[in-house]
Amino acid sequence: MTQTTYLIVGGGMTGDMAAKGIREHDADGRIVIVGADPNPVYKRPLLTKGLWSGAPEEKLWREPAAGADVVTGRRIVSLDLDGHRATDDAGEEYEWQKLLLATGAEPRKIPGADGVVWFRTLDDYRLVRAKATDGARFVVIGGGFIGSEIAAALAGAGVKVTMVFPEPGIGFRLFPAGLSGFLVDYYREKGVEVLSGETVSAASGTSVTLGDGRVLEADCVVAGLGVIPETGLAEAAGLEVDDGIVVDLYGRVSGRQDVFAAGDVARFPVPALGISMRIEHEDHANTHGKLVGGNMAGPVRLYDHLPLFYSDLFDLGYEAVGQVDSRLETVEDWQEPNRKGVVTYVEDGKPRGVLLWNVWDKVDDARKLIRSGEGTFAL
Amino acid sequence: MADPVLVRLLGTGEHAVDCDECFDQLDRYVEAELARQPVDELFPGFRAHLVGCPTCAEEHESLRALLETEEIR
Repeated sequence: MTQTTYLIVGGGMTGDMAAKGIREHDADGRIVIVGADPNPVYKRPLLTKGLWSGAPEEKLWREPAAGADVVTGRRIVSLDLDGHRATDDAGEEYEWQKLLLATGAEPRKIPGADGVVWFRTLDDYRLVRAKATDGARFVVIGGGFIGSEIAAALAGAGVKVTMVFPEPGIGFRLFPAGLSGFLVDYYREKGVEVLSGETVSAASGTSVTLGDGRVLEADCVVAGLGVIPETGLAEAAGLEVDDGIVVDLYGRVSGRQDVFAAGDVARFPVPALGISMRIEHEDHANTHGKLVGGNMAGPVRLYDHLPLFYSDLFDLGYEAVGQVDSRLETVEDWQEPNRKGVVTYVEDGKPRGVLLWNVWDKVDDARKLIRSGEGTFAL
Repeated sequence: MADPVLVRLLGTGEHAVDCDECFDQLDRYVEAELARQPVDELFPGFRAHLVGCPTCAEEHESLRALLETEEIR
């Protein structure tokens, strides 16, 4: 039996920042972090960004919180909330006073598609990297965040890449249709074969069969189809789940003062937008994790941060805040069409999100605009 | 409920409806829905397209709301 003041379930960036948040208020209380990943905490964004553009693996690692006991390669499999107990997959029991669920998310998978790399973890990166030799053929399934980033990274590494996705354009769920279509042409200019509007009927580690029967052979098949929050443990414990563990402004789960959730797995209220959201990006993982960790140990503070997310696609890059959703009305302000500009996402006449496309150091201005509830972003 | 991301990616194995076809037939589809007709048989592939296409789904919801209002009147 391991006894601890704070048990953090999940060894990713959120859990790490939560431990640091706890330490700001409690220098001595024991912190135990249990994570399924066999590696200690690392900076996940580098797996599809920096490591492909020259950053060495040493840049991945983060210094863990002072005195936190980190258990890697173990998954908590059951919780007894009233008894303040948890059990991991090796049968070890943990007795805790405060619990944080930072279980993150798992990649969405195509049933039966064995051998495909569902890109998510450091081990996935290492596997893909080892196969990404000059001239190797890769198929990337998915045209969203991970699909577009890994395709660009692989192409930059000299790999022959074919992208397959059912939408008409890259980033179609995020960007206005014109920009999404431009990205298809842009990726093709960069040497990526882009098969947009294509369904997939079967996939394996070395081939993808399209809906029309065509077969794409490859040395490696990578998929980026989004992620699904790992809520199974919370559901089994009777916690409220709605595409994520439902938490309040302080990161507490409904009806309890001693159980919290943060990061990718948490559905949290966003006062500035009047909705709840679940966000799977670094800034939210760090900021929410640290704040909720602090709330476990000290006076509670509410989370009113509007998280940033960002990406690099070959020579293009963007930062965005708020609801960046192509289903909303979009107002575009381009200095150079599709190369440098700003898109404001509008609903009922109010700005809900801002996309800063190759425009830098404007995130705080974008946040202010969204909080103001009026206007659109102009360069 | 089926995962809409996988429905979009994998298709349904039936006739694939594109946005143009959806746009052309949406009014008939909604009228059939409101008349409680078997729309999946009458319009194969239509539901899968609506699940997968946010633009057409929004159009579908708007049109359905409009026609429902007219029915009430």
